[in-house]
Amino acid sequence: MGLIKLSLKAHISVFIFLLVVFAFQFEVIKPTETLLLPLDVLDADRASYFFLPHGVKVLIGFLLGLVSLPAVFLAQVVGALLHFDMEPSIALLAAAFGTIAVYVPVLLLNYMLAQPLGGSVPAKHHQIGYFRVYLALVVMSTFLHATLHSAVFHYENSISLPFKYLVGDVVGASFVFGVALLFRHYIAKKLVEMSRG
Amino acid sequence: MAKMIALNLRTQFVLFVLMLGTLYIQMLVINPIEVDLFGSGSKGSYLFLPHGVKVLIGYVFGIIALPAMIIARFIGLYVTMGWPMTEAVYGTVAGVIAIYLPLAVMNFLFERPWHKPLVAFDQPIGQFRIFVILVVMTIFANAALHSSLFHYEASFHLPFRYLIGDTLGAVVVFLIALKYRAVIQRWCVAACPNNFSTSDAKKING
Repeated sequence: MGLIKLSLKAHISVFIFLLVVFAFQFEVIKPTETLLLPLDVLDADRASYFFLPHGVKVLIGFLLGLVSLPAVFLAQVVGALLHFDMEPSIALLAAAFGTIAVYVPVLLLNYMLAQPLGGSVPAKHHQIGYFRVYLALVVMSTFLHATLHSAVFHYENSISLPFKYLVGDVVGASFVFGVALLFRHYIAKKLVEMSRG
Repeated sequence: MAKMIALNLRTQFVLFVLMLGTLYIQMLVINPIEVDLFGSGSKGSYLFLPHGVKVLIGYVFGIIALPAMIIARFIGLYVTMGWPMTEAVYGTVAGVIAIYLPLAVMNFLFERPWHKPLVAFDQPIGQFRIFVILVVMTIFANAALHSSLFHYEASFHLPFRYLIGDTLGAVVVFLIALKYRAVIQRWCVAACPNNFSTSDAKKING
């Protein structure tokens, strides 16, 4: 598959899809968490134990590569502004770090697999299973995400905050991977269409 | 498990001294220079050699270096660096997880037993590339876990100090290891013959 060209329509689709996931996270999952978990477990901070957007971002970066970066970045900025009570500068910083946390591991894994750095990760290395590569990507991006967001939200940092990021991102990414597995034929068909331009 | 970590005492001792020695160098040489240059405001260093040494040892020896790593790290943090007991215990556990979790993930990636060292096995990818990814993964893990430990500093810079310090430390250690790679390889083959195939061992020993 290698480098994929995205049409403007595809960029917008990625952007809207990620925005919908953000909305689902903050309108459905977060209130459910607040209902189910006691306040001392929840700690009333920004992190979630089931954070879907990170999983979706990782899957998009994994499948589409660097070409999806603008849509992912913009969706995070808009998502942060709409759903968090954040200053624009903080929203921009959080979105930048959220983007770096996905695409730096994508670049690194492509480097390891000797593929085009900006391309999709599951390109040509058929000796290594996609699930294994995806898991390595999830682990790398999750640790980086937790680190960078601990820096952004240092003023409300607690001993549990990085762990909430770690747990939430891993659980979210696993769920997203499971859903993607269910729709793998549709996703593969779409990707082949995109790679043909 | 006992069989996995059965490395002769002499080698464990050498690894222990190597890791503790690097911590002493860090504390007695690098940290004072950093304090002179940047002040003494925060935990974390911009050139943290012990992380590079730990990664290299994990990469070469795998799980069998675990006892030496735990003891050296705990003594290093508690005695040498004077951390409080709870922080020293947490720091030890975090430091060890930051090495062995990425090692396990990398072994999973290549369909190998999780505890094996990554050095010298037949794979379709260059060793340098594998080492780079392992180093990066350990750096991210270490920074995340230590951001949690030192959350009370509430500092924007702390995670970056860990990211930069561990990266530069790993690069310096890697360059030193590259310079003395023949000596290191021979010692590794002698200490841990099971980690190397017969042909690799013959090649290394010339």
